[in-house]
Amino acid sequence: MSERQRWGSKLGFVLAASGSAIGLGNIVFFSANAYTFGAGAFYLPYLLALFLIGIPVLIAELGLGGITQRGFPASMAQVAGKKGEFIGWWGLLNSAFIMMYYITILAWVCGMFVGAAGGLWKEGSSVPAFGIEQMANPAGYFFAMISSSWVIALVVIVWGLNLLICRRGVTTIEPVVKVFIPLMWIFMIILIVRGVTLPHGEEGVFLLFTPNFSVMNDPAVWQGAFSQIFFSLTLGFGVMTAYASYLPKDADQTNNGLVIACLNCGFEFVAGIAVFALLFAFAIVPQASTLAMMFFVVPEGIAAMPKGVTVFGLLFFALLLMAGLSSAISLIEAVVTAIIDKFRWSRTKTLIVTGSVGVMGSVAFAFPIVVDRQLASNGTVGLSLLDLIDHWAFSHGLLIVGLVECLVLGWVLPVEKIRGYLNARSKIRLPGVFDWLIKLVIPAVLASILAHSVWDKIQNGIYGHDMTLDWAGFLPWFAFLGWLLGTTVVAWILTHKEGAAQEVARG
Amino acid sequence: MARFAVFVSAWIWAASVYGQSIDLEEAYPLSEKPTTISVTDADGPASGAVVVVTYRPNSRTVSTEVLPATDSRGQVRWTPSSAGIVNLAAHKSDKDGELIDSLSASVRFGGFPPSGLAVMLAAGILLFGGACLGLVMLFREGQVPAPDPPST
Repeated sequence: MSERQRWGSKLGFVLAASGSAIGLGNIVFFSANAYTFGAGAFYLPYLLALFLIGIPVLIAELGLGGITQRGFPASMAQVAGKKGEFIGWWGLLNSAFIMMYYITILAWVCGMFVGAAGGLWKEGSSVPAFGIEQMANPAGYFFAMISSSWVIALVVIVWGLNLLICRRGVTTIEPVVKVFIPLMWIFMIILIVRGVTLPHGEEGVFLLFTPNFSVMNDPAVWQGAFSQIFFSLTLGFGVMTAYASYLPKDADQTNNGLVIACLNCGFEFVAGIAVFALLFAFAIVPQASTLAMMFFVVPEGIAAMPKGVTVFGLLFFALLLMAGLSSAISLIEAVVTAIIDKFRWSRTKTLIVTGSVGVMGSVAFAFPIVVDRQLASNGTVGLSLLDLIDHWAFSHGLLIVGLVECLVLGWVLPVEKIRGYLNARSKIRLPGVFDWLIKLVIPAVLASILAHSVWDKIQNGIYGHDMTLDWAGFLPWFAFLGWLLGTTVVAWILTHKEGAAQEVARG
Repeated sequence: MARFAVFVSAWIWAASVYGQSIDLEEAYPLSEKPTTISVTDADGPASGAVVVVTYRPNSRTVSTEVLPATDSRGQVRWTPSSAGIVNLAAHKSDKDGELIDSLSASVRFGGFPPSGLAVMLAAGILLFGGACLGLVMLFREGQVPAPDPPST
């Protein structure tokens, strides 16, 4: 067996793992969530979620990769045999869906970056889109772009960029993240300075942090906070296990987990300041949607700036692009690591197969056919499909994986073994309560969030049933069944295909 | 949770009709300090118009306030009950009447509320401070130990 790749430095690993965690959601979705859930009052459940769910699961996932020195499915196979491996593949296939549409979004970010260098920011500018003679920018530019076929070329370019970065695994990922992550912090600090120096921009900071405790008895606020932490830290994706598997066995995963979580949430903290300053200064109403925040709300604020609109526009989309790329490469690497671990394919062959399937998926999410000319819902087939699959793969798939993962690690491994392993290699000793968090508390919280969601669907119908989709009214059920059957059948096939994971499990 | 749903139609189509407007005396009114709202329709000052104020639209803390009808000059006094982003919508005759125009505005706090300062410091120390501390620890520890020997 050939020697496993290693990170060149702890800094490289932590930057890559935090880069994976810090994505588009940190920059805009956190701010949208914080606003939706009562601003300052959101921080209490958010911080509780960080310490009760985020950090323990993150450390457990890193510990799993450290102990097994394998990607997610092979690690789960070592812990719980074929059933564990199935869960590993099922989780990874959810990540693969996310990887595909995430790259589509990055292609749109690229398109907006190009637009930002051109006429996107000119005052009162508009373009023809969706049959509307003149739709005001930036929404007009965005909808004109996603309904045109040149966005397909952008998808291919972004995929090429990702594969280039991943071509030699952590060896090529590490130098890229060492440039991207510090640059992201610098860009974000520039945006904060600009934001709070706008007229009354500092009042946006007051708005972000001043609590409104009337929302604290609303279960949706707690659900929002716990989900935010789970998704923000890239838990349940298999990424952290894959990345940790490239560290030596004696690496201090507890410290790594704490550093990654703090960097990720610290970035959300500063991003919130930048975004809220902008929103308050220009009286822009936030929307609880990552896409709306990225492509309309924040750009609208940038367009209203008195000076330097093009520079700050380019800066914002460059920041999104770097944050998105550092997350996308981790999703690709999680898939690639799992395939190499199982089938012992060469990295080149694995990247070609992953890239080919991935490009097809990303193109489907970029499909520019218009089905909702009045924009009552999402506009195109691609964006509608993206919204639907995100709802299942991201908002449900990852929570299901997290729930089962905690039960497997908690009761089957069991978790005392992980804690013993972690404590033997760390100055920070995990207390016994860690075991009960993994065994009981976190599964209970995740199960209640999932149960609430299922109940909501029983009462209100399948997600997307009320979307305006013209001839594509079948999409909500197609997306649900495609997600459920696609992940389940392919995970079953991959689990039962003979490969190295079985050898490891038997060993 | 629908993270990617766009639903922008209302926003995109909400364009002011020429000659109809809603304006604020101050661009950034102060919380609990009275200010004047002026409503104009195609014929001039809109007398009898009703302004609906939505505090923190699109949030779980959303609340609305219906102001008395505008006077003959098309004006009404408004005292913002809380700070934050608000939406002001002027309707003809009553709150469900035809929309004349709408406007988003930011109501100032007028100073950092102590509770906000406390949340910022607590969150900042834990999150941003934690990130800084983590980075310091990281640089102190330096390189990872040498890789394990290849398994045999």
